[in-house]
Amino acid sequence: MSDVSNELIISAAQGDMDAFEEIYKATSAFVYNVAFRIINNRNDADEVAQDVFIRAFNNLKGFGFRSSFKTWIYRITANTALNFCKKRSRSDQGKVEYDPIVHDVSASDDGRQELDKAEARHNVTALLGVLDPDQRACIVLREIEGLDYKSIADTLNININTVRSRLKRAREKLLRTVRKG
Amino acid sequence: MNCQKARDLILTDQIDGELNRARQDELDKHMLSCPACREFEMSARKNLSGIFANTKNAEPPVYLWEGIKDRIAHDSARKGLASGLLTRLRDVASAIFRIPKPVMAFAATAIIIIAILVSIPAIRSRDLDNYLNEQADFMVTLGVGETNGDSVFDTNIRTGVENLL
Repeated sequence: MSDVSNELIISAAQGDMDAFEEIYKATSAFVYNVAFRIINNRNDADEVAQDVFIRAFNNLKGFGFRSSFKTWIYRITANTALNFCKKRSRSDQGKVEYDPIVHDVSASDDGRQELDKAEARHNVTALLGVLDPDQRACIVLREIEGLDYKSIADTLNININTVRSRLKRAREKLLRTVRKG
Repeated sequence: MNCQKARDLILTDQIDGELNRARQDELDKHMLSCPACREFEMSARKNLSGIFANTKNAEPPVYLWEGIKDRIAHDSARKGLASGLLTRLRDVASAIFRIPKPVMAFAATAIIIIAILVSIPAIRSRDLDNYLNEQADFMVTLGVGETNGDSVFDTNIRTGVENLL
């Protein structure tokens, strides 16, 4: 992410859409990527990424410059994505269970099939699909975004030992899945 | 350190480079004496390290920014409408509260008095209606000879007739 200056944040907080567009350009790549990896579904990632930026715009006035802007926007992204997963899981209750691997490979029915197919070959989407959303968020922030434990804990607003236990369980599941082939 | 603790550390702090010096020494000591845990670490590193190494970043679609801009504009318009209504209500309320207190007291008293005056004739006219209805009923029964002849009125009429005769 390129730097987002304080002046840009202040201007955007006052309703300057050009300033907010600059913030969007600087952050949209990782916001979208994190949202997509936590939700593990590209169509829903569009909706969640949009919600993230609406929430960010509405709450810019409350950004107190106490944490880095990147941590702040990571936090909004992770929370919005996790809330979406919880809502979806509640609405899916009572439905027939599906195989996440089959689901994720066959769900690529839009214009982005090529990337999805490539990912399916590498099993990234399928492997993330075996994790629950909380574990997935930790793995995504650690493995894909490269955050350290303290930053993950700050982003998800959880204890650092909870980060450890979620990563451990996630990796145990991933190992079992990979070994099964 | 036992094997379980060692494996927990391998799957977390060891792989992620988060172990402090003291913990690292403890783990190294255990690993030297435990071939099973050494094997576990090799297998974990081999199977886990490559999974996300070549993960492609998903790029946001080009229409995403347009959607965000539209929603912000829509939300602002809605907020503007709501705040306009609130401002009007606030203006009306403040205009009411700006009226001097004696005037307010006078107006309230006048409203109460008018309400009482309006309701009293209604009560009176209701009493009059009831009285006239009773009298009309009585006259009707008198006309068809359905009285039993025991009332004071009947007695007075009978006495009057007898005197005439």
